[in-house]
Amino acid sequence: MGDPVNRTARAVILTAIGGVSLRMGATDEYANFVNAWMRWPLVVSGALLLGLAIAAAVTTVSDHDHPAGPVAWLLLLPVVIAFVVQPPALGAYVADRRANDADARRYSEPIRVELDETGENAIPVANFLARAATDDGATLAGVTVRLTGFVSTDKDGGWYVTRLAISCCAADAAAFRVRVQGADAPPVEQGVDVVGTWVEGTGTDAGGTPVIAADEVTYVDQPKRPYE
Amino acid sequence: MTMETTTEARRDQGIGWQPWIMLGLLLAAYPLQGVLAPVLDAAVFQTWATVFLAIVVQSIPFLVLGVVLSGVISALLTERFVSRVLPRRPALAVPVAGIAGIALPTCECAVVPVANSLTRRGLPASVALTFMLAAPAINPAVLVSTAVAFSGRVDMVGARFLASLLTAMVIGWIYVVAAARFPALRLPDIRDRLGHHEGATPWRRFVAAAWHDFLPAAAFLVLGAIVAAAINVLLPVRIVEAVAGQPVLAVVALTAFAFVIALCSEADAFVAASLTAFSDTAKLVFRVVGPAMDIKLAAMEMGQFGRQFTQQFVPLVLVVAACVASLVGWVIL
Repeated sequence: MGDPVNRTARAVILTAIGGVSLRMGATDEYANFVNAWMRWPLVVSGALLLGLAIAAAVTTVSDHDHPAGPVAWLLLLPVVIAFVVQPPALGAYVADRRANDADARRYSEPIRVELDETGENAIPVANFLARAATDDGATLAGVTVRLTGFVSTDKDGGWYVTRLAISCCAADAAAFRVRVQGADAPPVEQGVDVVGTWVEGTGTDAGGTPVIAADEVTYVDQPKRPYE
Repeated sequence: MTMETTTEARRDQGIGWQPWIMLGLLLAAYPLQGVLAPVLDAAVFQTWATVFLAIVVQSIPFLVLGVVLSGVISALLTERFVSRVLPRRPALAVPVAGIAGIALPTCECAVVPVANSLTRRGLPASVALTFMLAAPAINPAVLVSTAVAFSGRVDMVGARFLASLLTAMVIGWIYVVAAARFPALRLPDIRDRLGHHEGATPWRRFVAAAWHDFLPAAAFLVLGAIVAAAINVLLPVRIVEAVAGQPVLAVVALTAFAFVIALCSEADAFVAASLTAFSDTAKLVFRVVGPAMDIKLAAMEMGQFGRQFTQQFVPLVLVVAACVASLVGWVIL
């Protein structure tokens, strides 16, 4: 394995990497790893890499073919991990370690949008945090909201509806969570829809985690886009 | 050289044993999965795998873009054109290359192969390095994301632009001045490949350049991603926050943190904004060091420019970036 990687092997590696890229973009798998706008660049670059492997195979590229060092074997690692391990979207492990470290107000939509006081408002978890932390939660008071996320817990037996947000890829994920009151804890990592109202005074500018008093908790599948 | 070519020629006559080994490995991976299941199911490993794959997948399109650009440069750009456009004296060409970085809105992975192909096309190494350091840090996409992350604070955006551009230019000037006087300072090792790429047609040259550039760049990127993902998963940010109160230690800690965590330049502002315990200057250092130098860039540069050059270049860039950013932060913020 210490030998330089020969031409055919390089074409195979290139094809495999191109295949990973193409498959990520063609299915919804990309959403576990990168932002939505990366989808088409992934498809295009996957196609280009496959094209390059073919072009290099049919045209004689150059007579003096430089071998790529043994380090080129490393490119098989992402291929094996993508096809065999198929890692899931980030979940409770990251949430436990980074919960509400980041300022939700930088991650959520403008909070000026008024919530409907009579109906149910589906809002992102980060948006709930941002609203609670702005003007002492003035825009949250008295409205019913629906939060979608997965379950994470703390040492004291509390549980949270949790959602991660990414700006580029999963390496920069921030975790946001809202403590749920008035319902038994589902299993960790279970996807849930929590309908309820904000407990006034929690998670305001003064700090602390906001709390939602749950009217209803339903189990749901992981959303198509796991991150907010 | 001759020997290498002959061995290579002999090996290339058949497809050789390597593809078969590879196929075997890929097939063996399925039964192995059963044996390794307890390890593979551990939350730490799964999180590492997701972050690792995310870094690689995020980089592929940028790397392809960089390789395509470098192929275009190899195919179309002539040495005569380069010497006509740029000021003849490298000391003057350095700031021009720095400013030109605004025009390439990509992550840092794309720009390493581009810099490599620019040097192959006769650009002085100092000028290409300046471009390589400036482009990922001062392009509009990065500045806009910085503005969003810091809720529209113009001083944060301006300080980042200025500090990154200055860092790139200072490094360029160091290589202009020192390369002539101190032989100990290594220049990038661009083994040559120019001759081989002089194919018959631009298309041939393009395919050849792309074929030669992608694998090494991507392989070293994977090497960097393995380490960066492990640190991302294992190192809690709170460890770094312990020193946030001490100005000098805070700068050192965030320089090291930016190096090992290897975030995209479009994303680092969001992470910097969440480091609330740190001063604005320390946060600026984090955002200036990251796009200029991190563990995956160091690995890629070793692949493209040689080990000896990289051993000097990495610490040099870290020190210059941290100092320039501290200075700019101290004056502006």
